[in-house]
Amino acid sequence: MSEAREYQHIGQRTIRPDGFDKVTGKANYGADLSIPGMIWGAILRSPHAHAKITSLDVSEAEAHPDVFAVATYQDFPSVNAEAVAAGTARKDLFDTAANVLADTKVLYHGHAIAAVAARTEAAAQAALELIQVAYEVLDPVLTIDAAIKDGAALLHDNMMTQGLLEPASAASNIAARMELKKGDIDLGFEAADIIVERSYETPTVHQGYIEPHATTVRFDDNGPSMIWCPTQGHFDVRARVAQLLNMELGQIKVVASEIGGGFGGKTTVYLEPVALILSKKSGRPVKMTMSREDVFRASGPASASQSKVKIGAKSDGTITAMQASLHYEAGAFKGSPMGPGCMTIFTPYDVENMYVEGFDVVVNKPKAAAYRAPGAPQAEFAAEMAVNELASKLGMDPIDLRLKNAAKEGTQTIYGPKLKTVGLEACLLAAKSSPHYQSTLQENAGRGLAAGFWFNIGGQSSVMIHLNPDGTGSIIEGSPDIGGSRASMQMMAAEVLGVSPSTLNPIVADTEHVAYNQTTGGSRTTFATGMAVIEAAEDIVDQLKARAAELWNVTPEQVDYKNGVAYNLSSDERLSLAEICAKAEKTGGQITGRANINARGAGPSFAVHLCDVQVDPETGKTDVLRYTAIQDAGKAIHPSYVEGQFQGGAVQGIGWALNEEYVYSADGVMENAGFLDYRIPLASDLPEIETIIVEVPNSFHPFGVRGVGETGIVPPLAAVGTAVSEAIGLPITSLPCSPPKLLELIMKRG
Amino acid sequence: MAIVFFSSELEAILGCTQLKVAALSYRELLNELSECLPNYLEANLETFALVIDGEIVQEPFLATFEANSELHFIQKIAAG
Repeated sequence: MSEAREYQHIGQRTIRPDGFDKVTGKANYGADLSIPGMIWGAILRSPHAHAKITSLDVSEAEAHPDVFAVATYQDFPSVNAEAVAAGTARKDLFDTAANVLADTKVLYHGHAIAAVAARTEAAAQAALELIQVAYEVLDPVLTIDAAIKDGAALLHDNMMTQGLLEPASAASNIAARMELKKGDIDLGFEAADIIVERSYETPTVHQGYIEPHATTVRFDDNGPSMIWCPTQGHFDVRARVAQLLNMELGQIKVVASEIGGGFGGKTTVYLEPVALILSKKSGRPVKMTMSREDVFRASGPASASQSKVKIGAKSDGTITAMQASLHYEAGAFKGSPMGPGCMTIFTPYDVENMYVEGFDVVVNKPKAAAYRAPGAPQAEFAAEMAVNELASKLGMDPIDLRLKNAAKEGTQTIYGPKLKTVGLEACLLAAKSSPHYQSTLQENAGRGLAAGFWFNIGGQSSVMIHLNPDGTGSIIEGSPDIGGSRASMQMMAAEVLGVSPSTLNPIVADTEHVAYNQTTGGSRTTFATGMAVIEAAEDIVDQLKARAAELWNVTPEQVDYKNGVAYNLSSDERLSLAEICAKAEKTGGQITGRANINARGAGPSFAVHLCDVQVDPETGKTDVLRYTAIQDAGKAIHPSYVEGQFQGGAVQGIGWALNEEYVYSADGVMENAGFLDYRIPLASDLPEIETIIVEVPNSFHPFGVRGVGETGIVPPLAAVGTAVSEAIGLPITSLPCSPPKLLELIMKRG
Repeated sequence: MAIVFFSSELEAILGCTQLKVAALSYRELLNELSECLPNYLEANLETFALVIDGEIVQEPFLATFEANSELHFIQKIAAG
């Protein structure tokens, strides 16, 4: 679909179905479930960033009268010593298991070592002190430079770099190398009249979700064991716990509670498998929660990065070559988002010659997790800063420079395929004509602009829609709602069925009551689960036509269905959806629509952000004066939610650019593990984030949806970085632009 | 014939950047590649997504395409 369509509900700003529960405190989050007989679990965490565990003695804790169970790495039957000896150990699970409970080494401060379950929370905490651990402390490796230098202490003795041109001959902290190229990079630079070359770095940052990780579980020998937790993907929690504990999927039921933010950080497991071990051993339900400190120290942050970017252009602004070398911190175990970083960095540009090399580097920090558009903000920060510097050197408007080189339909990306219809040029033009860009910049202020790209993804979604005899119904889906997807599902189903959205109740079902759904992430839910909702609703429309045909004694082909009403084409009879449902008993029973899909055709999206800042030369504090986020949504199903996603991405990106960073001591202890010292932006820190929704429909989605959750966090880093650079008249190469760093720069300048 | 393109990382393993294939489906494509590429198994192509004429197909097992389609193997994208 691509032509303009008239919609009844799509594009409206309906009341969110989960809003009342959330504002009245009725919604149940991760820590809200308690079960009779429940006991409390607690985790013993490493006081060292890098150490060998030379002995672990839990006997005293086990003997304590208030303690019901103790868990260690050896309780994972898939990877423990017994499985290794028997040759059945699952190779793909070693890292996951060793991150959840350390095996023979601790690899970051706060790394979980053992867990106890006791009668009360206080008893569980106290019992941790009865566990005896002996360590051989090793040098912590806390930065990319430290990890890759000759003679660096190795985190994993057997880790060989994958992806080298020649197979690695020695172990290394570099887990993988990746290379992407297009055209001839040397010829591209030879053709350039001007070259910009600079290095950049970004810090380790956290997603900053407000709700800490929590879970309540009940192991059951005779039926499915239950796991209740806030997660972006309860089916994947089930799969991962089943793998770690050698259980069948059908032996585990995971219920996704309401979720207080995820942003990618709740796509893996930390507490859930441990709690289930404790529940199995104790025969009691077990609750475990992380403190805010635990969340910072031991859940997955976004990777710190180091990037080198080189761009060549002709004097008329035609970019002839773009080259980058990207290093990403993976944390304690391999698997940073280096790949997507390499793939996205130059995608906003239609340039003949490109070369990108990426490295995945392990360091003594918590294992990195996804964070909105994982890998893209770090890489595109570097590219966009360099493009802005190029515009400045060429004396060109940064929007004009981008328009001259913008990716468009047919542009060959560095990762291979040609782009279909995309909205980057439309976003750039919208930015250029925006009131913000047209406005005069305040005195002593700086203005920055940046573009951003994210692929968006499809994947598996399953949906059922049940209709009631009065025509109301339920949408049973399996995608945890982290950004308003229930409202979108309601509206898309209502659009197809021609009924009011409020008559359909969207429910995120547990893993037993709906078939598999991929994790909510990658901006896939409104796109892919939305496609499943549309297909299930279309299934219902077919059934409604067939039921009406039965009632009229005609064939289904003689029935039309529009706006919630079936029409008999051979007479003037009509029946509403509710009237057909009321007679469903007579025509074969109640009506259910179904869809199980693996959605294809996710539409890439681009965004352009504008930022004005002022920097106080006395304190180095930056004030954001004005900010505008422009993004191609394909089609905004619920514009308020789309704007919210744009604003949320912008605010998180502003935090990344201005203040947020993990601060470590020399021995690898995070020194700012709390929201007082790890400063995320507050509403009072920022102006209203202005938004412009661009709609270039995705031809592969029935309503044109592209997905909007990821892309909005990509441009802010360079938009803010460039604005600060303009404001202080100095290049910015390192984030965050925190007051002490800016003050130092300003003082050096004199 | 359809043209299949390999990214630089796959080129390093397979030794070529593109190949013409007489295939109309993913199964036929893999069959043909397994016969003509010596390092086919090492490349582990089944773990990749397939892009068919610009459309990313994360799980292409049942995918079909046109005789003149442009195909790219890319890493499966996961996200936050």
